[in-house]
Amino acid sequence: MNGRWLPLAGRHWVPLFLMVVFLLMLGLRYVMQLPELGEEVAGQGTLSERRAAVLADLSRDVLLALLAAALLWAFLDTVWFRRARRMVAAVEDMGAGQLERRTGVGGADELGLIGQAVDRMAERLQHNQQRLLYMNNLINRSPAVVVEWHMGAGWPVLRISDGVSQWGYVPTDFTASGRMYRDFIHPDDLDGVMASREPCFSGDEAHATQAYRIRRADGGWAWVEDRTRIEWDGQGAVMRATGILLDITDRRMAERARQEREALVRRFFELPFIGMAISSAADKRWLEVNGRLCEILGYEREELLGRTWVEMTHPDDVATNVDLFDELVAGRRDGYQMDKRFIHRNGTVVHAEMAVRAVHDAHGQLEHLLTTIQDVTERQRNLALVEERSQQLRQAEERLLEANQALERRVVERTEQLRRANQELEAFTYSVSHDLKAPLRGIDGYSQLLQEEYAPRLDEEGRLFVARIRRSVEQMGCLIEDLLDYSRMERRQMTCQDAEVRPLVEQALEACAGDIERLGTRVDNRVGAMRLSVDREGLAVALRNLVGNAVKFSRDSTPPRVEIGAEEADGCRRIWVRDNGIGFDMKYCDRIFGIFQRLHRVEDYAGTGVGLALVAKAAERMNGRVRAESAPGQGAVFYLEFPSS
Amino acid sequence: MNLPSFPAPSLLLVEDNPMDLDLTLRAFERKRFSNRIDVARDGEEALAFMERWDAGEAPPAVILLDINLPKVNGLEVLRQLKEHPRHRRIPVVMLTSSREDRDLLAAYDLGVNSYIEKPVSFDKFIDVAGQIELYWYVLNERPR
Repeated sequence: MNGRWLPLAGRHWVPLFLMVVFLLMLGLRYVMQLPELGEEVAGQGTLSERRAAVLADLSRDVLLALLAAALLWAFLDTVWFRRARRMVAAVEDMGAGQLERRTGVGGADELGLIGQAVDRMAERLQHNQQRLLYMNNLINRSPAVVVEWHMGAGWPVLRISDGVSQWGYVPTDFTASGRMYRDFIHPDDLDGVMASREPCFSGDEAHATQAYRIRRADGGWAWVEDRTRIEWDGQGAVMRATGILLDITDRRMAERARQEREALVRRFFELPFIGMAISSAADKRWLEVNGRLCEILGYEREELLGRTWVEMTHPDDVATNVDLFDELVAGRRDGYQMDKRFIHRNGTVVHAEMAVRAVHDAHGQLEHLLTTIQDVTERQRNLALVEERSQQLRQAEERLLEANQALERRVVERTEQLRRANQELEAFTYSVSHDLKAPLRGIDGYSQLLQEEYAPRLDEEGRLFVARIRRSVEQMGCLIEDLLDYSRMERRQMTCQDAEVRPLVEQALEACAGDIERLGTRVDNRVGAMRLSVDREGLAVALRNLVGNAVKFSRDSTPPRVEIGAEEADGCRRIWVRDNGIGFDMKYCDRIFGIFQRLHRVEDYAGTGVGLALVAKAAERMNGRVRAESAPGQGAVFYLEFPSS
Repeated sequence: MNLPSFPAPSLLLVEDNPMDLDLTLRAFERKRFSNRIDVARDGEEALAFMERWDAGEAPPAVILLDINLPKVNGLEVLRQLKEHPRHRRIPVVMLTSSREDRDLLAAYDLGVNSYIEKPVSFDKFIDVAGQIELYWYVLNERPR
């Protein structure tokens, strides 16, 4: 209760005060009446009578005074003290921060005016407080963080706005944690930040803006821009240090990315493989050139910049190039490519492949031209070399072609010779069949007639002669037939078709059935299911001869045995014919397949020496082959082999 | 075989080789072939026979025709025969030394009825003669 500041408003001492005033007045009156009392004692009545009258007057006066005091008190309380108390209570509340509180005191008297002034003040204060709260709210909502430091070692933070939440903090992390502001600053940036605050500033305030990193609550770093304001008092003592912190991490990142991109573009631009330039769309001047272009043209970068590309273009190419440039500038094309020649600083001609592209700004206005220039002088030289080599190659090819043609001519000649030889062979065959057979028929016919009709008239020797004539004729007949078979095998058209082997083997055995029965040969036909793409007649002839051979040469074995089989192995299909006959020495293994080649005397084993040659020829004509394995006295195996299809 | 109302059918053998001719005749003889055998020794003689048939003489029942003939070739004789309005029905059997004979195909093109390969052995001659007889009487009886 601050009642002592307003003594008139006191509740209990007001009547007391009035009473004291009244008693004082009463006492004063009594004292002033004393001399009169003495005089009256002498002049009027007895002393006791006068004393009693005075006391009676005094009692009446006291009563009147008490009544007057009570009335006055009531009046004052109503008009003054009660309002004053209301005002006091309201002002106290206001002082306690209840700015919405009003005194509600009216009236035109001083108290009323004071009350109204206080209410207006409270209203203004309330309004200002609301504005302040609003501003504070605004600050707290702002991404900018407002901070106030105490100017002590390590910059303790006095206040900091709610914006620190963007770094994961609450304000008390700065103000009430015992940590200094410097503890939040990146160690690498600390020196710079502190240095900027150390120097003494002249004047009464200083501003400093700097960027540094502060630690985020999650341990990461945020780049901030700090606008610090330091105020001094007149004596040079720091009054206040405030700062506005703005998170510029994104800006820094973007900045860095842009720098990196720029560096990348620059590196790309400076790639040493291809000449690159940016040239003016207005006056054809080089604005930017890379090292490679300088190299191609033989100029220093500074020499090129500011000069036009026309100056170093081969005179014969200028018109074409300028036409293209004009079209591009006029917007009729977006770029162009051209093979052109530049003049090197040393005067030599540089062949180049050039590509030009227009670069427009955001409004579609032509800004400048991007040009790439590839030095193809070396390539042109190589092309010439390649051309030369190609020429040589073509010549070589022509020579080869000539040689080929010569070869072909010779092939044609040889083929013709072969054809003629074939024709002769055919003619020979024809004459064999006609002209040789005719006399043979005569010899045979008449010798038989001689034998049959004149035998009794011949002596023993005569009959022997006739018999020998007959045998010779028979052999010659066989020879001619075999020879014809052989030549037919050589000439005939082979028609290969799928054929089952076993029936052909059976057919061959059938053909030799007479001999097999006569000699008691044991035949073992083991041929299973196997198909071959062959000329049926060719294979039949081959099998007939192989089987015939086996039967013939095994006749003296006991018992004669012939075994025929078929198998598929090692990528080929093979038919084999095995006998247990006299066999032969392997040194003759090639000879036995030659025509008219015989290993035995005719008297021992009849034959013309054509059979196996016929087999070999048939196999050859059917893309197969024949081979034999044998040893003297060990029998023989003949293999007919064809590739598996 | 006795057909009194008709003259016995004859056979025309056209063969230039004297030994073949002789042996063929002997083979028929061995087979006791009793019909008449006319012989022409070359193509001209064979064609002359055709004129005689035109003139009214009875044509043979079969002709054995060698391919290789002097003067007029056997194929030419065959062609003229087969072009003849009446004689073309007379069966013609070609005689050849070999199956290889290229002229055989030409003979077939001209309409020959059959062929026989002249055998080297006389025994076979006799067999062939027997076959001709069979052919004649059994297989190839002419329409009346």
